[in-house]
Amino acid sequence: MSVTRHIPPPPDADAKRNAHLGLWLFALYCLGYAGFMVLTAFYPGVIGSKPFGGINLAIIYGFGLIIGALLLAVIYLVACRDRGPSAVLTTEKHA
Amino acid sequence: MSLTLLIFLSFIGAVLAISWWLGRSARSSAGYFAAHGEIPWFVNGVAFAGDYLSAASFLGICGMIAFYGYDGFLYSIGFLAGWIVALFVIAEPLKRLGKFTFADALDSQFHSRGITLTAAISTLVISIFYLIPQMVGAGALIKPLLGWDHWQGVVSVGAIVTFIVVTAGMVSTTWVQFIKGSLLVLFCAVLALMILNRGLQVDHSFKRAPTAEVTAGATILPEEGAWLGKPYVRTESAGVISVWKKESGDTLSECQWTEAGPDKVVQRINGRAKASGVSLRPVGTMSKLANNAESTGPLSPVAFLQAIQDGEVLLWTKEELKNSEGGITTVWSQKPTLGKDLMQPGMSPTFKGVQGDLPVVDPLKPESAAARTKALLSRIDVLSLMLALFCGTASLPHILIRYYTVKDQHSARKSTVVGIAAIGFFYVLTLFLGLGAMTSGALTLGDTNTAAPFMSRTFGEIPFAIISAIAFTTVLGTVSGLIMASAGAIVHDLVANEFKVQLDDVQQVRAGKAAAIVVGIIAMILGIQFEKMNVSFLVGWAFNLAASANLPALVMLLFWKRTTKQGITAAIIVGLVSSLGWVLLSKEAFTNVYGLSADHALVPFSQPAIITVPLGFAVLILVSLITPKQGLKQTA
Repeated sequence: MSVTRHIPPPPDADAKRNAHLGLWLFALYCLGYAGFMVLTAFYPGVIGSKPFGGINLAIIYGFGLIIGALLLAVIYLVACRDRGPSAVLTTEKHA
Repeated sequence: MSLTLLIFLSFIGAVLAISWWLGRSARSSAGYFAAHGEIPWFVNGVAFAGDYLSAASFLGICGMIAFYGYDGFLYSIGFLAGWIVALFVIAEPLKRLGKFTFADALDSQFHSRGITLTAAISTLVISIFYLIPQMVGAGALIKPLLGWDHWQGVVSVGAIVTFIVVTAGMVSTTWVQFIKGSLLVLFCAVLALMILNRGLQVDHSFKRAPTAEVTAGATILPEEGAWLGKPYVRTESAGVISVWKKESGDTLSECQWTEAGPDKVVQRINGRAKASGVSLRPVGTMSKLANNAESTGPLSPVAFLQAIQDGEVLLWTKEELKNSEGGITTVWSQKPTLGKDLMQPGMSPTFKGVQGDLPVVDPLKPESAAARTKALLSRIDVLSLMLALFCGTASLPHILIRYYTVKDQHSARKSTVVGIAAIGFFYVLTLFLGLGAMTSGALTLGDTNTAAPFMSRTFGEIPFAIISAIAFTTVLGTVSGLIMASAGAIVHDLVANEFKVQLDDVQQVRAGKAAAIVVGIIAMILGIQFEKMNVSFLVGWAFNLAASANLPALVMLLFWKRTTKQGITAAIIVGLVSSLGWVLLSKEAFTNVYGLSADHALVPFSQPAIITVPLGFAVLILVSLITPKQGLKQTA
């Protein structure tokens, strides 16, 4: 029976480098998010304090996580490389 | 026909026409399920926003902030953070591995029927769980706008979405999401500017006065029945009964109340027959501003947040009194709340466990250990929800399939960044929209889902019509994406790959359309059945399921070479069953679904991700280690 199967190309050097970079940035963001979760759950006094600008840490940290996500995403976009053939999809038929 | 209705219907009509026109060329399965992989990356990125900013994001978060303050913003933070997982971990490898569906990617190395079957079932279950709150949100929107019943709203949304999906598949779905995502972000930005320009005002329309002043000229009714021993005073004047709450210092505060019969249908509102057209008075006011000011005038974003933080907002608390005939009297009483408490976590039922420090165990007081355990479990529950939001985004089937509508990994990456920008900007706006609704004087007690549309009405009927139409297309966009994901899973994964039914290209498209109709009908039925359930709670379920069932399999497939097909299959099954079982045994399910006491709940907290996501990883690793690794025999 003939079935159409999608055969993914192997990751090239650029794909591996991009994946490596992505994992580092992911780890960095995870640290920030984990810190926010711990402060929210266990340190209500700290998260409610006003470090500067008359706005409490909960709001500053929350906005920081949203804006920080966009900044890291742009850094990733700029730093990634795409030169290899793996960017093209292939589809093959096999028995 | 009113102007509001005319704008609303014109908007929906235009979206449908554009959708049909743009999607009319999709005839092949590649066109129907993945838009030929030819959607421009910017359009796809905005469509990500259109797909993702669902009824829960727009109606649910704004409503939650309007009623509970910062707690709703925690959802915004978690929903956005999830995109980091999608961009940095999932997007590019998934694009390289798959073709049409999530199962494609998981199965790309193994060609295993077990993986295809479990991934397809997982997709269907998660999509249907995610569909329920969207349909409930649709009913909640239509009710105030057109005066229709909930079921009519649900059926109309279901019918329109099914039309969109059946007429042209992923192409039109993408363009609907692009239009809706653009309009949602732009108009919400305009609305936020209008809120800042209006500033804040103190409102004294709800009375709080000395007892003697309130009772002068009125008859005080005796404390009897359900009112016995409760902190309320009932007065009767000109045949209308009013309810007041006893406050400290011989003061009474005005309450709002409804009376329902044993059938739970409300018969009287604030002492008058509901049939006379009376409704609860709208709420949502500032009770104090800093320096005893009465209004602020236009504010900058920072000054707006500071003014609420330094002021006092009038919230309302609800108490239900059961009378001897089985009827229920619901009383809402005033609760002036400091802005500084509202602007940090802990005011909503979901997050109240994080208020205050953990109780210290006193060896001489055995109950102190139980109190500490309870407080600790509440905090774990919050952590678990935040984990589910973080991990769930990158595991949602309707988000994953959008990576197949662009031509390559580079486009997938750029799409995701555009999506993060649009979604992040919107989530920043949610705080201002929610707080604007909180102080707009337009909230309906007990109905968090309509806070944003009713707030827009305070700026006029045209903003109300536009925001309602956008909210309606929000539901259309998300539901159409979910139905597409479900149809793809049924036709591509189950019918073609699992059951080996040979379909040519045209038959696949026909089967996809038939599947879309079936899923649409199921969504309509569930949307009617779950009318009373909280939208955010249901979305939380879907995120927990997605994170537990899909994420371990996706991540380990991409980053651990020892992963086997048995490991993936086992991880999906265990993740799906354990998370589904957990939420169905939680106290929320017992109270909201089964109508039982929360004391009967069989799990210690409500959100399972903190247990079931690691469980999925552990099962995958264990099963992979005890089963042989068999990769695909490359034929290329």
